[in-house]
Amino acid sequence: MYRLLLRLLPRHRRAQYGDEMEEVFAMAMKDAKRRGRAAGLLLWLSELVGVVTFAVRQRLLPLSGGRLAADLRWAGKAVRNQWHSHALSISLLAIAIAANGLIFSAVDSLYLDPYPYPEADRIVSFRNAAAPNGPPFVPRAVIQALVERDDLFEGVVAYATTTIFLTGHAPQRVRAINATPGLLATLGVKPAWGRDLIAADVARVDADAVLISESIARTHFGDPGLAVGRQLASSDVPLVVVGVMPASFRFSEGGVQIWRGVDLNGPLGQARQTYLMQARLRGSISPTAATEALASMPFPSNWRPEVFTFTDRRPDPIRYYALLGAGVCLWLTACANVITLQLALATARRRTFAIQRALGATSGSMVRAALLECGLVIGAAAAAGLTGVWLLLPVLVSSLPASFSVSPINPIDLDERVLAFVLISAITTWMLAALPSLLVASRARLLDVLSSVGRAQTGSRATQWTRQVLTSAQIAIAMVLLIGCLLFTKTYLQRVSIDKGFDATDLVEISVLFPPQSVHLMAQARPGILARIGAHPSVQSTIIGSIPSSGNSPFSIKQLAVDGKPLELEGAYIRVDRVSESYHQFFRMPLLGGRYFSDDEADTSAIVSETFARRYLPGGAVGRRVKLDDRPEVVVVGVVPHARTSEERSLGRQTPVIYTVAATVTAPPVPPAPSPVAPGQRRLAGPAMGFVTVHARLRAIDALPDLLNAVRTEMPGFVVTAESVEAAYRAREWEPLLYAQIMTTFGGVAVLVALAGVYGVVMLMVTHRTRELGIRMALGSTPQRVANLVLGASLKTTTAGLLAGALTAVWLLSWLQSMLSDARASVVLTGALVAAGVLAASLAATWLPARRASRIDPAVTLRAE
Amino acid sequence: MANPITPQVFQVLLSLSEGPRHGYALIVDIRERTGGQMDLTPSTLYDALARLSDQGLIAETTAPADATSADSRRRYYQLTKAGHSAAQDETTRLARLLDMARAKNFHA
Repeated sequence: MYRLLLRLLPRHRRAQYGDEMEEVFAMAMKDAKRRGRAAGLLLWLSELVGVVTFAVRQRLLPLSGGRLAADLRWAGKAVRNQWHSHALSISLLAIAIAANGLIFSAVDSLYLDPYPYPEADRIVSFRNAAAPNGPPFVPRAVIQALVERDDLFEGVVAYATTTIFLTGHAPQRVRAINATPGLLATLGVKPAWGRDLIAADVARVDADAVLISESIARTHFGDPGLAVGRQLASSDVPLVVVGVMPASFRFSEGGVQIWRGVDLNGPLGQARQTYLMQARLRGSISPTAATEALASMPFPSNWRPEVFTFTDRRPDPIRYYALLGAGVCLWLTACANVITLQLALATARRRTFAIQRALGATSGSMVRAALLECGLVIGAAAAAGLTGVWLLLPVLVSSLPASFSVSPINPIDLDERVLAFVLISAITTWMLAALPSLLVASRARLLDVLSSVGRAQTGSRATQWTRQVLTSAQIAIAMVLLIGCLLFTKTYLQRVSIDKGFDATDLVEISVLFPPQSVHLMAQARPGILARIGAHPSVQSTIIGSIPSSGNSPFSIKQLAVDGKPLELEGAYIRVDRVSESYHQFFRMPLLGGRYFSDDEADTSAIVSETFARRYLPGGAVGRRVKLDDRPEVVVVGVVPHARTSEERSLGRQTPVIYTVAATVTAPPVPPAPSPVAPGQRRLAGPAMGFVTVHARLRAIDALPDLLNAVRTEMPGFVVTAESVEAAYRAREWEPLLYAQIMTTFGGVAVLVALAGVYGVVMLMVTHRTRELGIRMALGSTPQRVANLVLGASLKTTTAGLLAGALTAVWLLSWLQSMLSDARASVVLTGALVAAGVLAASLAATWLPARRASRIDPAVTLRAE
Repeated sequence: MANPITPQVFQVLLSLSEGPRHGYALIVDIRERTGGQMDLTPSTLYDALARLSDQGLIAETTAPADATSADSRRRYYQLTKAGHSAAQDETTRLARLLDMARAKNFHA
């Protein structure tokens, strides 16, 4: 990026100082980053201004012979004289630049440059080509074979996610990675303090060597530099800090703050049988070539390696292009408005330009003046826009779901790429905004100006036509944004109101986390936790278990027999949930057939979802016998609605579900606490932690905060969280809501700008045709007919814009269908509604010019002749 | 010089008056001498070096004999006689300004 910036300098200066400046900038940036991210950003901003100033001084001073300062003063004076007009342009452009900067920052982080590691396209992962839809885990037996292929890979690491509990004065549950040494080298990054993990680190058994995040370092040690070599107390062996990663570093598994070295053959490494892997391709070897080279190796029969890059993991881009498109639409609206204004100002100054040319001003000097004047306006807008991005970015990040503020490897922040984007937007706007002045100034002739003395300076037919086209363009853009706004709003409302299959009214989910040292007590503690929560006065009833739409993971069944007859299956997935007898009544799932489980229901009974009944039990489900694989045969006693998961809600898939009765278990005996670990040995890791999840039906959902406080007070030392099930469902539909909000905001701004444009165009038309309208009225035309004439002109401009906007919206719809529900069915009605609204608003904006036209006094007009 | 030199340029001349330095060393020296008040960015520094070089106040030179192996590859700058004179003239001008201020009972 810095090298790109240096291209602003003349070639001879780049040759003379370019390499040095790059080296010095790298050193200065390293120093600045040690002081914090804000210092680094400040250095980038200062350098941006410095290089531009250096470039301007080198490029313009030799040509102008020192007249640059004088030209800048004249440009400043011209802007001050029209400050009220320029203030509107600056405000509008600042909003558009800020909006685009915010959107670009998010899209860049999430899609365009999600992996800001050096040569990220050379970093690969591995998956099983024999099960392409499965998770990308690699069996331990395979890992060593891949590590030994140093002809294909420069570095290979294996890692697995885990959780570490830090004890001591600041207890913390931390997401962590157990990784073989060489992880950072494979990614091409280094710690800001200390060093990377090395092979000798994983040989220790009395402590674990770790890299920690800057956040952990500051929490526990104050200064990150003091953390290296120190220890952190954990629920297992102590952690020895060998390095600290800067706050800007993110790992592909979101939210990781500790990286622990692991020996795959040691006790910690042997606790897992599969790992995730990353490697850096050697030389110019492609992923395809690496896959082919690995195909000949003797791997287990059910595992065939496939090599894929980070970029292969990128999500569907359409949602990000939609966001960028909305931002570009707003920017185009702002540009059109600024160009219209500059055109009006340039037309008004046509006489001044003509006199300047007649007095000897060269084309070059007039071009320079126009560029400087526009540059001051655009520069102010860019500075204000950039300030807006810096202030609003934390607000944007906090409004996104946690997975988007924590997970992105490239954080959503103001980095050099966003700065470059804002700069390019500003320069492009600068060029476009300067065009009207350049064109008018280049064509201004003194004789033409003198011959039109006394007439209103509204410009030629071409100028008026240009203004009408620009206004129609603004109307078209506003229409596209408003149609998008309504369609996304409709999609959001449809998704949150979808039938869940159960009643989520006043339903809450409470989770109690058991840390490793207490997880052996979890089963014993369940009944007590249920009783404590149930005793709260705000609670009507409780149950332990998942909500109907998120039970066990579905699995692929090989055999299904109904009434003793096997059925033909093709890769069918079924979910089997073991529930208590009162489960379906607690969640208020209506009966579609048969009955609920009774209190003493036999474990040979089952209730099926309507999807299961429809697919496998046609002709009636109740009373049928069902046998899955080698499980005991069950008899269907009831049918309930299908409870949709959030994924099913979006994709329209439904996994059949069969509910069986969980055997009643008396409280198990308390198992003994884990025995102390012998010196020099490591405990093989068992379950790191456990959750007890309780669902409670409250008398009123407003009581949730009180309930949560009461449970936390009664259970100190445990991490207790709670959320409303209804709110959790709504939170999953954040995407259409976010798009609806963005399009509403942008569409609202765009339509206001467009209406201002309509008003301006029509008012200018009235001014230009004052003489004609006066003559019409003198010849007998009524004020009403004159007003209708003006309204007709506005109608023409608006209708052209609405038509262009409608056609554009229909074309864009084909790209956005996957994000919208029932888009095709809605677009005609939505488009008609938006068109009617914009048309009405446009006519309202024309009211004042029409009233002025209807009040033209023919006597005054004719006297002026 | 016809016009007073800027504070940034004056600090560069002061740094070079102690002997040849390379670019980053100038930034560090100026930052330390001014107590962090003046932290030159690379573009500001090289803009100043370009102008001083064009005006003949500084010249490029080779690394001193005691430079480290990393520093020996860098480009060094040194004051010319004209640069010394310009720094001296600016010092005199600033001293004269200080005397005028003291005469009016302003003190540092």
